[in-house]
Amino acid sequence: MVNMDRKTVIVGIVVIAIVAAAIGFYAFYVYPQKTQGSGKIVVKDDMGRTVILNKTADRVVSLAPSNTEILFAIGAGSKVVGVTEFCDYPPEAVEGVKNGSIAVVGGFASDISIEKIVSLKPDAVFAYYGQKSVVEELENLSIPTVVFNPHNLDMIYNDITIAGEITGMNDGAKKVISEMRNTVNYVESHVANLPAKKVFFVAWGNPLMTAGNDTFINYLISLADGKNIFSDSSGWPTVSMESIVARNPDAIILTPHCGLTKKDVLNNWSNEINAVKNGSVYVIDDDILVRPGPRIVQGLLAIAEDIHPNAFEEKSYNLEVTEQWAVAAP
Amino acid sequence: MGSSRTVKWSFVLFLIFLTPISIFSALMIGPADIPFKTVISTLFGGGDEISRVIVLDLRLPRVLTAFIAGFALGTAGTMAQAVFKNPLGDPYLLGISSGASLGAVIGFMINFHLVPLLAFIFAIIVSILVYSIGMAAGGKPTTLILSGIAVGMLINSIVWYLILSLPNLHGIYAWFLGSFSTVMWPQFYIILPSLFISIGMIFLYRWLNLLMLRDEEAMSLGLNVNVARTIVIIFIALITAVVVAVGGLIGFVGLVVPHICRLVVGANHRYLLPSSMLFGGIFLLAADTVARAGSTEIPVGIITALMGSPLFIYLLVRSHVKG
Repeated sequence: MVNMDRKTVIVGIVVIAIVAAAIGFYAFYVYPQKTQGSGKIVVKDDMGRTVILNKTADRVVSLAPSNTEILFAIGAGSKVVGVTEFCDYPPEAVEGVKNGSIAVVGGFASDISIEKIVSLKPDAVFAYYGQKSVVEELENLSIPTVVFNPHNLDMIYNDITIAGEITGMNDGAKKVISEMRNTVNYVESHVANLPAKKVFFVAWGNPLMTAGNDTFINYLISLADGKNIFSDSSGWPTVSMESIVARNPDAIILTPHCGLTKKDVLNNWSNEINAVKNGSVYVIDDDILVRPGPRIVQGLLAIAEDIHPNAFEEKSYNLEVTEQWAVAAP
Repeated sequence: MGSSRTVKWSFVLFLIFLTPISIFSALMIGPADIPFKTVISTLFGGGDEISRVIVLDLRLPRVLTAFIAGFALGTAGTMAQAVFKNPLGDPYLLGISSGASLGAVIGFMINFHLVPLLAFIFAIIVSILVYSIGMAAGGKPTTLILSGIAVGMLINSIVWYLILSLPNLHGIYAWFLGSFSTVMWPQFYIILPSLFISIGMIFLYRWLNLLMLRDEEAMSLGLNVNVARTIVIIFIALITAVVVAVGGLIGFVGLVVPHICRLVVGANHRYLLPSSMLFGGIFLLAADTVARAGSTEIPVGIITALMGSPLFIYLLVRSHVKG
C-alpha cells in the first residue's frame, strides 16, 4: 500500500469531484443542448436511459398494449408499423393488423421477433419493463428504443410526453394529458372528504389472487378514495376466503378474465361480507385497470363510481358481464 | 426391518389418535382472530354469525379436504411404489400430472368452472394412454414408467405452449403448485369419494406385498400379476385424479410420505398402507394450515416440500447410521 498523507487524499477527492461534475454538466446540460440545436431528439426513459434520435420518428414499433394505446391516442397511430399480439386497442390498431398495414412482432418478451422488428425498419421502438434482453439486442442494432415502466399517473404523463416528442406529436400528447388530468380532477372533486371504502380486488378466482401495495390497481383504488384490504401485502398474493371475511370489504371488484362472475360471488360467498350483503360487486375491464396508458383514468373513474355510488350524479362506466369471458381467445 | 409388531401397531394407533387432535388444532388456526373458546362453542352449535361462517363454512371443509387429499396421496403413493417396484414411484408417474395440467389449462381457457372436471377427465384419459402404451411395450413396471415419462413430455410441451398464450400466468402457476384456498363444502364433497376408495385399498395389502416381488414369484404364490397390477393402477389413477381436480398438483406427499412411514413400520403393506394414509393426511393438513395461517396464502406444494424434505433427510441418514 502507498502511504498517502491526508492532503493528497483531499486533493485527489477534489480533482475527482471536479472531473465528475464536468462530465455530468456535459452529459446532462451541454450535450442535450447541442443535440437540440442540431434537431436531435433526446429523451430520458423510465429506466433512466438516455435515448437520442436524429429526427422525428416516422415508423415506430410498440412492444406493449399500453404503448400502442398511447401512440394512437396522441395521433401517432399512422406511424405505428409493428405491435404485439396483445395490442387489441384502439380498434384502428386491430384494423391495421387485419389489413396488413401493421405487423405483429410477437407476444411479450422471449417470443418477440427481433428479426421482424428489424425488417420493419423502425425509427424508434417503444418497449416495456421486463423486455431487457430485447432492448439490449435492439440497442446493439442501433435502433433507438425507449423503455416505459410507470409507477404512477405522473410517470404515465411523462411517458406520453416522451412518445409525443419522439413522434413529433407534442400537441397531441399535451391534449391527451390534459384530458386525463380533467378526469382525475373530476374523480377527486367527487370523492374528496368521503370516508374511504374497503375494497377487495379479484385478480384471479382460483386460487383467489389479489393485488398488493406495489400494483397499479392498489394505486388507483387509493386515488379513488378506497382502501385495498390487502395493501399490507405486495405483488399478486394468493389469499384465503377466511381473510376476506375477516377484513370485510365494502366493495368487491372483478374483472371479466378473473374467472368469477358477479353471480358467483353474490351466490356463493358469505353474506357476512358487506359487499356481498349490499350487492356491491362490480366488474371492470382489466385492460383499463392494468394498462398504464391513456385509459387508466377510465379505470380510476370506474372504481370511484363503483365504490362511491352516491358521490356521482350518473354512472359513466357500466360493464355488465353475465357470462364469464374466455381467458384467452383461442 | 427390525421393528417389532408392537412398534408397528403402536405407530398406526398413534396416528389414529393424532388425527382428531390435528384436525381440532387446525380449526383453531387461521388469519381471522377467533378465540379458542369461540371456535369450540361454534363447533357445538354456538358462536356468532361471523365465527360460524369462518369456522363452519370455511375452516371445517378446508381442513377436512386437506386431510383427505393427503390421506389419498399417501395411499396412492404407497401403491405406486409397490406396483412400479421403484422407490421413485409417485402417483403422478402415470401421466396424471401432465393430463391434469392439460385439462386445467384448457379449463382456464374456456371456462373456469370446468377446471376440476377437465383436470379429472384428462388425468384419466392420459393415464389410460400411458397404461396402454406401457402394456403394448410389454407391461413391465419399468416400461410403464418410461411410457409415463414419454407421454408426459409430449403432453407437457402442449401445456407449455398453451400457457404462453394465456395473459394471466400467476393463477396458473399457483394452480400448478397446489392450493386449497378456495375450498368450501362443494369441493369437500368432490374429494370425499377418494377417502372411501383409499380406505378400501387396505384390503389390497396382500396384493401390494406380492406385487413387490419378482413377477414369477408372485405368480407362483397365486397372484395374477397382470390383473392385480391393472386394478391397482386404475385405483391410483382414480384417487389421484380426484385429489388433483380439487387441490391442483400438490407434490411431495405421494412420493415421500410412504418412504418416511417405511422407515418406521417397514415394507409390509399391512402396516405401511394405513400409516402412509394417516401420516399423509396429517402431514398435508399441517402443511395447509401453515399455508393459510398468514394474511396471504403460500401455495401448499411449497410448504409440503419445505417441511417434508428436512424430515426425510434426517430419517434417511438416521436409518443408515442405525444400519
